[in-house]
Amino acid sequence: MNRRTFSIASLLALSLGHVPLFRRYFPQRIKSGWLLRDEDV
Amino acid sequence: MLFDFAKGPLTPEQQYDVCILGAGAAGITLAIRLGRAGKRVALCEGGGLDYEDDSQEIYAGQTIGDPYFDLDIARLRYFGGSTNHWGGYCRSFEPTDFNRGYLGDDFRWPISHDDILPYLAEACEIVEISSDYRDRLVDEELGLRQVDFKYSPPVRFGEKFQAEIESSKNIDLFLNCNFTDLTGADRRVRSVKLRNYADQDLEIRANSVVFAMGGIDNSRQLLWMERLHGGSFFDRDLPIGRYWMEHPHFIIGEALIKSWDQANLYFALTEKMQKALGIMGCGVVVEEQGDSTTKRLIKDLLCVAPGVGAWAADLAGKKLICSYRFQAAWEQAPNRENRVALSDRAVDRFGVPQSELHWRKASIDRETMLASTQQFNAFILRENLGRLQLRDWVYQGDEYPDDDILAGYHHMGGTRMSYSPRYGVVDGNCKVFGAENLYVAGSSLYTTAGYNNPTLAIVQFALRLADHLVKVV
Ligand SMILES: Cc1cc2nc3c(=O)[nH]c(=O)nc-3n(C[C@H](O)[C@H](O)[C@H](O)COP(=O)(O)OP(=O)(O)OC[C@H]3O[C@@H](n4cnc5c(N)ncnc54)[C@H](O)[C@@H]3O)c2cc1C
Repeated sequence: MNRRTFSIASLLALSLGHVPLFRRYFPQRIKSGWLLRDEDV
Repeated sequence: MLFDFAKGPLTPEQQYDVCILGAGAAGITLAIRLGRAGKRVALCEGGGLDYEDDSQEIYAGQTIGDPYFDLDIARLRYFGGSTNHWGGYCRSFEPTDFNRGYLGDDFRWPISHDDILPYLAEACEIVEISSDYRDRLVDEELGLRQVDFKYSPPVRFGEKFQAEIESSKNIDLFLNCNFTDLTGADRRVRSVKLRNYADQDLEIRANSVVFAMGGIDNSRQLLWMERLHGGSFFDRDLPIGRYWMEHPHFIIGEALIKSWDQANLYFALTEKMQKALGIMGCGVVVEEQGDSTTKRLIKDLLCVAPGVGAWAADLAGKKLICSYRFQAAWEQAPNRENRVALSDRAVDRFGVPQSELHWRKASIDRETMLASTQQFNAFILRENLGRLQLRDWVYQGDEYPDDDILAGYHHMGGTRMSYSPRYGVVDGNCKVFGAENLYVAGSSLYTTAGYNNPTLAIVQFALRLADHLVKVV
């Protein structure tokens, strides 16, 4: 189980530089916003 | 009985059991239940029976941070409060919402879901919905649930309860009576001071006083009392106004999906999955779109992924695929820096500093939305139900757009409940820390926000507070 406790710093972090955050959750193939399977392209 | 302070001087009776300040969903629910239980109630409303500019202007304020609605249009200031324009979407807190201690001490409630659950059926009756919520586990492994929403007509609390209040022997409704001050000493409120729009004053004495002035003005007025009276009525240094929360609402994308049997579906993650991902609650609303959207999306998909595009086009030809729009409404982590403060630039007509709302979304908030969307997308891909296209700002990691839905008009936190005055303003009985007889009602009580609309739970909390007051006043 990947439980985490959020630090104050993470809570206060403003919404900047969201690409790494996005990539953490969406590592798959993306084209023009389409979330694709590898075999789609 | 109904007394209108706009029509001339009033002489309230000597002493009430409870004085409730504000007649919206919380104040009216509380008054009705206390009145029915035989308690003498003074229900004091700043506005009249209908909208008036004089009253509404008092709700003006400033917002600092992320784009938000003007504070004088984000709520209504007359009998019935913001239920005069609410949408009626109803779903209450879930057990998970009271079990967020794993995220940190300031996520911890002093009560559990079982404390408000006994009031669900009655709250549903009040807002005229069924209490039979039928959620469905869609996929255990991905932690995906389909959740049920109910729709109130929507009940306008003022209209619904006006006749009962007017004919009640126990409830006196005072209209055009704006709360301006408290009197008393030694942590005990003796009376409240009220003012009309002709600057005439009225004093009402009560054994207990409840702030029910909405999710922003509960904080503003409590901050004002602290500034005027220091620690006379409650503990000093409470986090009044802090941990204010909204539900960010944004359209996150569109999709081509093999047709479902319903036009609108609502998804959320299971408690287990939320914990595993270390995120908060998020609802994904999936709404069916028309043929022109389907055609546009197929054309786009054919360009970027011809194989899957042709597959979608073939299904569309057989009317087996539809386009959907995805909207996310999610829980914002309580953040001490998000707060209602007293403006040092402008005061209302009674000399009370206007609200200054500091509101920003943090990275954990974005994470909650992204992680929930990904679980949903993983399900669509695994089952080969279709393909989802995210809005540019989501996958390009841009700032939130300011021409989107933005938020839900849900004003939560600010006088939150906690097990400790370090993290909250009221205890598990809604009593202000250190006070003898001063209480709060409304969603400003919420320790965490859940992802659901606040009003059904406001009614549950008000019924619960009424039961407590029946015992103590
Ligand atoms: C456009 C819109 C749509 C919404 N849709 C939904 C929805 O679909 N589902 C949902 O659950 N919620 C919805 N809400 C939120 C819902 O309206 C509120 O949660 C609810 O009305 C809050 O109840 P309350 O009693 O705490 O505050 P309010 O209803 O705001 O009542 C506060 C009362 O206090 C009075 N008051 C303020 N200051 C003073 C003073 N100094 N002295 C005396 N009286 C005072 C006000 O006049 C008002 O009558 C919506 C809100 C808006 C604005």
